[in-house]
Amino acid sequence: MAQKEMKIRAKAKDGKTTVKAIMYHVMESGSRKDAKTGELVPAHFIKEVKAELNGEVIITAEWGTGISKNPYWSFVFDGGNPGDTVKIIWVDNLGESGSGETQIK
Amino acid sequence: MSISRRSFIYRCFYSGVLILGSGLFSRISRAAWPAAAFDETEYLPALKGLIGDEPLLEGHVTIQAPEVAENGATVPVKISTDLTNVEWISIFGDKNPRPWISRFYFHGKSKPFVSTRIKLRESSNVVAIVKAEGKLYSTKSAVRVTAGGCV
Repeated sequence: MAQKEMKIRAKAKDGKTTVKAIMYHVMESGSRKDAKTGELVPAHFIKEVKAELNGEVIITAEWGTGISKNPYWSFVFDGGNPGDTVKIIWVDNLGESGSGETQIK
Repeated sequence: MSISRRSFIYRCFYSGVLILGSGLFSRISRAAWPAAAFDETEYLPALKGLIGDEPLLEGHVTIQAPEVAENGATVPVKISTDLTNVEWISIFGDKNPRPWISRFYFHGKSKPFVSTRIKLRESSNVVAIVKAEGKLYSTKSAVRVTAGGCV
């Protein structure tokens, strides 16, 4: 499966870095019905996410079906220098994965 | 005992599935994704699935969420805390068909803070739970939803 697109930005200010990301994913809960066919749309959602700073894991997360479509996630960490690499990786319930990375500005 | 061809193929397939499950799609966290608690359809059992019978303390946790959400499919929430040594922050929507929404674990330099967007099926409470130094802290914020999210 091809890597999905992700929008990710990281900005250092006053000794801490703020990261903002949007992951493009349908986040289907499995309980929504297709408007045309009336059939349930199968569950397809991100289950696990992690964030890395220069390859070191700083946040891991477990998600259920209650995170919105095209998930937005912002987090903050101490320090961080311009040029450092921040990466987000996700895995969904079908075993597909995606990632995005950026350099701190 | 001889192994029939069908059984052999089946075993190959099955062990392949196991290998795929454990290796190729490598897991992100060490613990298994807690399916039972995420699949729970009622708030209190879902909460119990996460924390058992541990008491919830008040204070130290702040939720920023809108009082009124026009679109329940995407409700912005921010959770922060003044606690230190935070292990995780968890989010619930107490009227959702699957109330437990997420849990974030903090390591290294990360701050105990979450900003994301969640689905709320109807007007309900967003509940945040923080685990810090072995204790659980909780707060909630009521959100009135004028158009429910497809959850």
